[in-house]
Amino acid sequence: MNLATNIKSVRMREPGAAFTLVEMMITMLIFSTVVLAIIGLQLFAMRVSTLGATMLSATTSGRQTMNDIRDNIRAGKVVLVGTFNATNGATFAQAPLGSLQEGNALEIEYTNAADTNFLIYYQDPTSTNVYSFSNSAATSYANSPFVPIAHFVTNYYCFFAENYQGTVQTNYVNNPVIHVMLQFYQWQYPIGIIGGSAANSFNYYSLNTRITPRDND
Amino acid sequence: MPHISANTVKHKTAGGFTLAEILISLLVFSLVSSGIIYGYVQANRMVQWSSISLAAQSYASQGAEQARAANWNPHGYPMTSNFPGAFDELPDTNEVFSGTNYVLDVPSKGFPGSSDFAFYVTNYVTITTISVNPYVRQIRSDAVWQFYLTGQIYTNTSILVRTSNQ
Repeated sequence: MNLATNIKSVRMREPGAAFTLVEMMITMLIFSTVVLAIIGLQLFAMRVSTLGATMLSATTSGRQTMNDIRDNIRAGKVVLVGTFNATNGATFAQAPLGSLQEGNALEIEYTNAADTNFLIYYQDPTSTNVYSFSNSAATSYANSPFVPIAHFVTNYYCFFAENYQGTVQTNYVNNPVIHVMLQFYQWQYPIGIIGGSAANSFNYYSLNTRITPRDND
Repeated sequence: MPHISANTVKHKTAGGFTLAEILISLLVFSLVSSGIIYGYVQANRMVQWSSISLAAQSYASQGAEQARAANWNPHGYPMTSNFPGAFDELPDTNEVFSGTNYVLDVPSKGFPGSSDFAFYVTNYVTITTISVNPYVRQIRSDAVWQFYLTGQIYTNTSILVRTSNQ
């Protein structure tokens, strides 16, 4: 008995013979399953891509802000932490001596005169943006109006003057560590459907950096 | 010569795949599918590792910046050290900063106090004297963290060289 020959003869289809209806239905079933699986994979990948894009969009502006603040603190002569209200006189108020050196604003002075060359960063609690403006031609925000440089920043106290141990100081000193903290809350999946509890609807992001100004002249 | 009836011929022309063929095709399909899925998983894992590593590098830089801000006046008197306000606040030493307050900036779901926000880091700051004349010290900041998927320990390092305040 030659089994191989027999199997080969069984597998032979007559020339010109078509598939049966059952064969076609099974083939279509398998093909549909595979196609559905691929489509599901594509949808999942799109969802992951959207999640990643949301994260990146939230943190990119924050990181750019961090870089910008770091460069300007390095270039500054005097760095002050305080408060700033754009709708109430638009003046910077240094954190009072004897109280925690923290606030929503950071003023960087490029000379010893605070009124001549300065750059201010501040967080606006209404718009949840971090803005910057300057009266100095030496900066990229020369005589500019308030420029939003970070969005969705929810914490009012963004700037802290700390000592080398990470403790927020209670008086102004000329060798502080400027701690910048930006906290974001952003919709996790902007094009998705929120569930009943909406527990996973928002993501939390936090960006921190610490910069030591250069030594005094 | 064996007799082949008409029914037998019809059955043979409509014959399906053999069991061996089905098994081999399933094996090949499984290998390809598992390769694709493994690729997705590896890409996701690398993204996770990169985000944590970047955050750790940022943390190491912060530790170095903090040490650079320490007061160091070699000509001050008396030269007591190692406390805030001294003339030499951070002399040659090893400082360890760790605990639940030392959290890496990794985007995560939910509130930072919850259990799914647990990317902790330990920061080792080491100060060594390079030169006495002129005054030069090296600041080495190591951010040590554990990759939660594998349990492996990694270290990101930032090194600065500083001189005295005066």
